[in-house]
Amino acid sequence: MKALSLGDVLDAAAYAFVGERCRDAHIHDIRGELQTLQSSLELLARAARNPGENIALAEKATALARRALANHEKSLVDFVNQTTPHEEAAVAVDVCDMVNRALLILRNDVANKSITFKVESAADLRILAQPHRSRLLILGLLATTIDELSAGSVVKVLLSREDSQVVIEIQSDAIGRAVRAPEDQWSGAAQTVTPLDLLLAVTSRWAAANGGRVSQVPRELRIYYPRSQSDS
Amino acid sequence: MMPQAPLRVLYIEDNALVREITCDLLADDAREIVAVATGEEALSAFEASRFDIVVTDVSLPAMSGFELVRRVRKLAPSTPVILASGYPLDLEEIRLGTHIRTITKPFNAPELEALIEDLCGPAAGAPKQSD
Repeated sequence: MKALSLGDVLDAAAYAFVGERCRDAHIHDIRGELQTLQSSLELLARAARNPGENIALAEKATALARRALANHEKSLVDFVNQTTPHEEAAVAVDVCDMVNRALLILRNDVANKSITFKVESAADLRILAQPHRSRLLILGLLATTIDELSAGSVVKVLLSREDSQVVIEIQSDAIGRAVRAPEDQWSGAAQTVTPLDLLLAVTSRWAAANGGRVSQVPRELRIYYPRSQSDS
Repeated sequence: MMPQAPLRVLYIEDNALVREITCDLLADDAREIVAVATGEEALSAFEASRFDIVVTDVSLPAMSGFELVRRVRKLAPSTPVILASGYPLDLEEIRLGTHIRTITKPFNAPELEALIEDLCGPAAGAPKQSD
């Protein structure tokens, strides 16, 4: 049996937390795709009752069902990949797209707490990263930010370039504690670890392993990550 | 006898596939469906024209379905509303007033038609003749 490193344990904890935290949002999106399938079947049944006049309707319903099935398969694969640590190759990932996808998943949480997200992004912010892992970390950081804010708060997400690095900056009242090394959190000095601490620890290790870093001051978290060479 | 005016339904759904196919299922001689993708578009349509009922997804970009209903109710307080969502919804928790029903995805057309009939009267939810 493979021995588990501290990094493995932190990874597993981060995936488990984000999977549970965003479970309802994923189920919601999957139900949206099932809605298309359900309605496509109803349209097909309607066409079958009167086949002579409804060939176009049947063809349209079949095409919609195929698209819904393809979307559904992609969602399920993404869901499994975003809830289980796994080996994946690094590819060029657009940071702005990553943030927007996370906010789409979290749209109900944002609406329920009347949180305002202001996203400002420079163009072509691609990094070379494991796509599911990086999306999970951004999703987790934004989810925990929402959880720690009071209703009506404003969060700014600024995406920019600095030299050869992409900078993901999150400004909010939820940010403030100093980043502790993961080893310190498991040393016994800290009796509890918040989800935000956990995600910051995993994000710090992820960035460091790829030549980046994380810095934090009150109200401001910055993740520096090397830009993808392919877009320079 | 004068033909009855079709029931005007304002339908809001950001998923393009769901929006298109639900319109195909619901539209007939008795119902006119105006479908839009966002709460902002819905408010513009509502301010410009009369609708007998609003059927809206809850999870919408920018303006949620809940916020949309609050704003619609300021313009026309008694407008019937059906809230559709992938989440089960608790009406007591939502507190958006009366004349509201909820439906959980994935729903079928007869379920939605039954709710429309419940809110707007028997002819409003009548299924198509070919059904």
